[in-house]
Amino acid sequence: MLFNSIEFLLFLPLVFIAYWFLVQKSLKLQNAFLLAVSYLFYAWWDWRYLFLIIFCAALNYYSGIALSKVSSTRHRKIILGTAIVLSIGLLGIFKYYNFFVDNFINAFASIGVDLHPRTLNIILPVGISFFTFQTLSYTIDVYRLRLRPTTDPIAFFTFVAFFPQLVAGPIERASNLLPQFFESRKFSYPLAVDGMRQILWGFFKKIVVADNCANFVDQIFTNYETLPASSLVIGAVFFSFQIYGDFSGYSDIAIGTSRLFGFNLMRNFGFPYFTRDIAEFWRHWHISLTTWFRDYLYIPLGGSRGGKALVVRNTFIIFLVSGFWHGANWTFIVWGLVHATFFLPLLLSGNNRNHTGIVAEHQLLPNFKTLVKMFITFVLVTLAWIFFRAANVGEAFNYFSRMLDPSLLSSPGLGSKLFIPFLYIAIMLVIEWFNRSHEHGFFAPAKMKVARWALYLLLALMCIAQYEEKQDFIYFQF
Amino acid sequence: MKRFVTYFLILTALLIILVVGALYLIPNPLVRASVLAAFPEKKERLASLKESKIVLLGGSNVDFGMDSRRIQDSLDMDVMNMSMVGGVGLDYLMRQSLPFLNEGDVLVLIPEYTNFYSAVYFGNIFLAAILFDVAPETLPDIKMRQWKSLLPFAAKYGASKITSLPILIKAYISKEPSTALFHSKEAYNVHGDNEMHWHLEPQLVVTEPYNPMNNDLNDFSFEGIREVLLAAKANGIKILLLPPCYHQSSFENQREAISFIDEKLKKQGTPYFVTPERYRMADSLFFDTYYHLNKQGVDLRTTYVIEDLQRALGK
Repeated sequence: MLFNSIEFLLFLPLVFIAYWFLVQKSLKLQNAFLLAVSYLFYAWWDWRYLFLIIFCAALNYYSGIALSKVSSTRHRKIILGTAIVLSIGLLGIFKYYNFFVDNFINAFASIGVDLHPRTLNIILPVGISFFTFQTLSYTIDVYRLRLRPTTDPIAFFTFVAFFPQLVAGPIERASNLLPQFFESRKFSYPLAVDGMRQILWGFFKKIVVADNCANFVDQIFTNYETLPASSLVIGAVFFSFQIYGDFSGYSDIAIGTSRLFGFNLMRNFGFPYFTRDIAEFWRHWHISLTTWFRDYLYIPLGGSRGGKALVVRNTFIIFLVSGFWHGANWTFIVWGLVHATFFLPLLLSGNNRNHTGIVAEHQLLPNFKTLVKMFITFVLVTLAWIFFRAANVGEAFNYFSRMLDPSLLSSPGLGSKLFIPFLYIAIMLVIEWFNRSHEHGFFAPAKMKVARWALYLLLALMCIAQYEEKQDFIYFQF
Repeated sequence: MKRFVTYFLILTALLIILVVGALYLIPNPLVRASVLAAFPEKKERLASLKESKIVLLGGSNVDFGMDSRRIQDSLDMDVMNMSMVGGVGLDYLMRQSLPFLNEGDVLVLIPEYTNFYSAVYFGNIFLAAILFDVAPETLPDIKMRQWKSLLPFAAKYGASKITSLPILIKAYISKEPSTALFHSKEAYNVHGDNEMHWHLEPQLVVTEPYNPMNNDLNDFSFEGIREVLLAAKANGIKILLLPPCYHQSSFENQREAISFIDEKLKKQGTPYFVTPERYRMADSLFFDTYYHLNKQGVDLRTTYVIEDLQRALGK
């Protein structure tokens, strides 16, 4: 089920009412109810893939219990290794098998050997990369003795399948989300209201900003060979905002929805386009994945300790894996490598933590120097997005070369409606700029009730007016 | 909790009142000056035609891409092009036109491919615009099944009237259509062809992106077309189901979907009269989108349609 679907519009209030009015007396019943509706939410897309979630949850649940029952390091390593191999193996089969087979065939074809191994005709199960990583974090934390294994299967299975964040995150840590399934949940008016506000803001970013940009981006990337360079620049910029509106919008809806049910999910975006260098960007973009890789890959590899060669190696590994996590395509790998190249100079020169506070804190507007830094970061990120969006690496390079054409100064020729996405992007940026010190982009002061309600209605009307059916979230494919 | 639910319900009710109020109370001068506003006149003209006529029905590819006068001269039969922008929906157009067709008439049905795998068949925001701003008398003709599909678009149309209120007020005061003439009510000839763009320089035509055939095929469109074809046949009306003209590059991107549609139509006993490839036309023959032909394209396509009609009618 998509958040931006009529089905979800009916599903959410019904689940909310049942949750707080019918099953609120028993925590176990609430968890069981959430599990059932989460499975329904997923099965709406394709019930056959539910077995993957159940398998993944069962594997890591029993791995946790097994880890608590053995004390020898060797046995513990075997249990952890088995859980990792099976979880990643599942991901490998469903997400990467055809990629490896195709590249294997191509590699042999280049030396004149024709191979015909079988490729699998399978569709990628929605959210597989998210729930695989979420469950793995649990087993690894139990192995590291940072978390006690749970013996409540309903709570654990609900933690894995919790519908707001099941298909596109945030990738929750067991240490944050799992304990919430054992605490009595009381309805909190301020939390629920803020949740609704965040949901509304998420819909605005997805439906109004991202989908409007998407219409142009799809046209431009399909026709980039015939369009002037100025259009290609606009295409790249729009894609930057499309992917931001799309993914951070999803995260806002997920976090806001969780709040309606008394849960607090981790923050996933911290206004990444207001950052002053690439290192800061990565602390504000897809935070749940970045910190996952930091904690479970980068630090175990040695992190920033050791010689420069080790730091360079670890940085490239983490960005490469991060790119590959997004999809079985060389474009994502190159995208990761490009970011590693942008990031390394900052890390090696010790400048990667120059900007840790809120940008232009206590100021209405940024000063010129900050503005330039933000602009340069945005340009670098936008250039890298071209690899992310292109169908293949060759297309990305062609796109770059065509962007340098003299037609850069000519009219984009994309019709009179081109101003519309710019207008919505501007509205989003202004509102987020003024709320950049808050948890999410749409904080509304407690006073001025009438103005606040008018703003809610206006945003809701804009979402309805711009609604397009069947506009998937980009991150569903990962 | 009580406060939260109460406030939520009040806000939802306000939202619904605003949207419904806008649908009925805010006039849309842009729609009333647009191609959509030509529909009642087309209907009047169709009603005035006598027996033994040819009616062309489809989306904007027929609306923009046919020279009915030439067809009339070649076949010596009255021709009326009842096509409208695809978003009006083939279902609505067929049901509004069929009552005016009689024994001996010929219905040339040319649905755009999107009719078969999206909600377009039942109409989208364009139909909402017709229903609330052009032909409200046809509102009762909309069946429950169609409302289910149309409701989100009606809401969208109502909400868009509010969010674009400044533009609507400006248009209302200036009384000048802010749209290109070929998108205006004045663009039609007496046969219902949109001919205003025939002598304009072609604009940039972008290729329709690759769209893999997926599971959300709109079965209602196949059923609806079959129902209408059977009903028309029973009344002695000759039917010709033709593929739409389509931009060659876009055709290649949609090949999978087109083959699927072609096969499904054959299976249900309502095949295209010719193969879809016949109407796959060079990119250079299009005006502003992959469905809208320029004059050169219109001439070639009309020749094909005349040939197909001659073959079908044995002339």
